[in-house]
Amino acid sequence: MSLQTIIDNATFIEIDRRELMGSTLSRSGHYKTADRNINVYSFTVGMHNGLTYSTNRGVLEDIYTTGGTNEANISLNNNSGMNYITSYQGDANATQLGALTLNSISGSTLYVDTTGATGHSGTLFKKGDFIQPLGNTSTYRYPYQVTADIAFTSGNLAVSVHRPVLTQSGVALNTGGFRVGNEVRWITKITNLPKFTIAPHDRIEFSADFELIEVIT
Amino acid sequence: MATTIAPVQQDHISSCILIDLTLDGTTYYISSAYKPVTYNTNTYTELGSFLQISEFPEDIRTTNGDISITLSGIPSEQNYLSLILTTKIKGGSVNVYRGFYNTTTHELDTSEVYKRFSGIITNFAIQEDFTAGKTLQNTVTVTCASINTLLENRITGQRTNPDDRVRLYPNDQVFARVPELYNISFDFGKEYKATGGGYGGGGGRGGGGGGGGRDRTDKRQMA
Repeated sequence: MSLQTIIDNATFIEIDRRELMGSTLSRSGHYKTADRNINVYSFTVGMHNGLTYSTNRGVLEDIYTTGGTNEANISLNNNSGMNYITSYQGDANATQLGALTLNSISGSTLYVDTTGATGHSGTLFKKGDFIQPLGNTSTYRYPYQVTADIAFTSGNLAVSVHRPVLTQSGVALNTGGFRVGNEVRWITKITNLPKFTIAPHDRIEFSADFELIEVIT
Repeated sequence: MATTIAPVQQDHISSCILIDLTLDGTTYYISSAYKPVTYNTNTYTELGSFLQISEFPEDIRTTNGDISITLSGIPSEQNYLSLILTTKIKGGSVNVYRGFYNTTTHELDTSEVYKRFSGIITNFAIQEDFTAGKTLQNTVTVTCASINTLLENRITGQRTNPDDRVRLYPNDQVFARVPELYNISFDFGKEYKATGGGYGGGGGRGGGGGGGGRDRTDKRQMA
């Protein structure tokens, strides 16, 4: 959880989920675009210089053991002050959300079976909500953001998400529940691991921001 | 004949590259797609290995440009580094397709997949970029010559030896004695005399007269 400590203490978190794309502008002003349907989360995390060295040596050990080669499972809302970042915006309660199951996927659409969730009313998901299928093994890795409000009705609801649904070897995406809102997690690796300096007054100073990227397998 | 590609007439396109890489009889299906895609009953899956492909040279006239495909040296589903070191690489075939997604559903439209390149592997390279204490990158690059290049390498004539003749005309023996005649000197232009030996002294002006001491056996007769 060491990297999580950095995120919990971050002075800022920059989220880059821009699509990989290219463009041309012709002499006649025609603007054309192309993409490869690749859309991966990456994060830049700024860390303050107030962490005390004497009480956080274990954190440092964990960070540099993880290094750039091992995966780190992170949350953006591990402390209550950060819950607003990924909190659920819809009207379903925890029991109802727990009764949702994934029927199937197609392109950038998740088909969600809501028949098991009784008392449908209001909005199931609002635009921008985070949702992460669990798959049949509950080990599915990738979170998504909903791109349109979804009314909470009974049936097989088509939920459009911000990127094409990625498959994962060994995980069937026609069953299983969901992580929603603050439960979603990202599996990342560190692409830029800064050095640290032990500064006066028992402080740790990092030489740069931490940069992370979602790991697609 | 020109092919009309409907997706490129839109203001926004979404595409992926599909590659058939055949090495020593085994075909590897590689793609740049975000998930495994099926085309021509083959599943293109090598999601973590395909790093780069060079530009396709295109011209009004038929071009012979080579392309290179860069694959990761870090094993994912397939260890290409090991594969290239242990397999007969040269001569392997490569087909490259460009497939277009439906921009609404984000699924590959298999009716909109077009072959961009067909060629043969002519070379490979393994590159290791090492920065002490920081990074180590391994990549494998295969260079592929287009079929046009191979067609230009055709044999444009026939060698005057019996093997080549028999290869083209199995029962023709016209060059059968060529090996016997190989490296034998003739004085062309000299009148043939069946009884004579040592007739080389003719040579009207200067240089032709020195041949008398050599073996002047009538080789034409022997042949």
